[in-house]
Amino acid sequence: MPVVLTSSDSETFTVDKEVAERSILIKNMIEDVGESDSPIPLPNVSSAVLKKVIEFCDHHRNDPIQVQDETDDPRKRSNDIEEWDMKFMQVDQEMLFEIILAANYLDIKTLLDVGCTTVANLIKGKTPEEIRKLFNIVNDFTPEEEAQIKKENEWAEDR
Amino acid sequence: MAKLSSSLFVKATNSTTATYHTDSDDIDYSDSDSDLTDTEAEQQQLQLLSSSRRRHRGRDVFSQLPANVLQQILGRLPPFQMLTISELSHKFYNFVVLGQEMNEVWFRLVKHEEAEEKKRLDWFKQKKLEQERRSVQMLLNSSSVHNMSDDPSVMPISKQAQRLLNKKQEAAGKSSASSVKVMKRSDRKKNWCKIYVDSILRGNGDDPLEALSQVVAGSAKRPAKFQTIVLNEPLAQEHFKEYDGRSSEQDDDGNGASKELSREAKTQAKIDKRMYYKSIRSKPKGKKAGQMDTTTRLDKAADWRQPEWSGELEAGDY
Repeated sequence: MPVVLTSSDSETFTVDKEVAERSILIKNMIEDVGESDSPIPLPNVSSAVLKKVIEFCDHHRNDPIQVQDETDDPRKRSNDIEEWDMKFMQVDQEMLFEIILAANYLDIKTLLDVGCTTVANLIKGKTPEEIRKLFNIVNDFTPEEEAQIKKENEWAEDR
Repeated sequence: MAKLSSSLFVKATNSTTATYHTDSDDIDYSDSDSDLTDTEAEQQQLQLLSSSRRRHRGRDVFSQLPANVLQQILGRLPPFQMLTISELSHKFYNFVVLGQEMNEVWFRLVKHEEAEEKKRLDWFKQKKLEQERRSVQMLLNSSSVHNMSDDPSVMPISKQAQRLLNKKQEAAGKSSASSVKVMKRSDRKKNWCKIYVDSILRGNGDDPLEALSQVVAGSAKRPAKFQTIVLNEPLAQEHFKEYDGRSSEQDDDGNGASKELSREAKTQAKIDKRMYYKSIRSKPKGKKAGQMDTTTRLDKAADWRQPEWSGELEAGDY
């Protein structure tokens, strides 16, 4: 049975139920409302992002749904990404963060994992200045504060 | 525009089995005020998209991420990089250092250190084991060279080598568990000197390990070159031969000398006597002075014989 999803810019997408149910949010909504033809509104997701999300869910439609406990402990996660997922995440930074936010909102664990891992891999091995430049982060520390923090973290720099 | 984007979407997902369509498919945009053709609309859409991207390009989206997402991203970073994040801005400093994330940082730092330490120890143990294997191989090789013609002493030597290896491995295990010390250059030098001197003392200058391999527990064999002196043991008669010879010559010469000699001989006799008594008195381990060994006692008992009864004895002696 198809499910109709409406994006924030009022665009509608008809997808298979099993694809839509990769999102825990949509799954719960379907369970709550019951089977109906009325579209499910997703006001926090734009059509461009929803399109990408549906593409991801469609590719992973047969994957087993992750158990909550497995993903909760960050120490158990690995930073390896499948080849298809890596290609899927080769988008501009703006889209990458929007996909992550959409995955978080729609509660799609696998997509959120892939997104976070991609961002972590971008950060890895970079200095604070490089990270600021990468993400357009404004340095709001005073020179004194910055020196103080650097001194605090000095012990970890040799490693 | 909606129609356009949906058509783009259908193109993008053509390979998938799911079919996507929008409600806007039913809406006829040809009735709208604008006389835009499909291609113009496409261009306009692309322009709008690119302009919105440009608008967002300078925006700091990373800082806008919710705490749980930031947590997940930080959780995938090495522990030291998590501290680097705290240097980005006030927001990240508060998030990492002042928030609960610092606990995570510490926890992971400790785990990281433990893992590193374990890795180091494993590496050291492996190297040590390799070294021991090599030395045992050398020992076995040298023993096999010495016992080419099916010498039965091959087995005890290899057993000895095995025991030596086991001991060394145990020692290595203990020492590596406590602390790892690198041998100084001077120590290495000393060690080599020691091996060299040992090899000379054992009477084998060619291969230091060869001499070691021949050392068997309880062996009574001693190299011919090596003179051993046992303390508290009376000197052999040969030791006095030279002296005796001189004294006999002197004896021929005159009486005074013979007197002196007899004094010397007396002294020696006294010493010998003293040594003899000392050896008798010296108590064996775990025995009181004068207490005999069970074997000695049995020997003595065996030596004792009942006197033979004779008619003479019966008659008057008792």
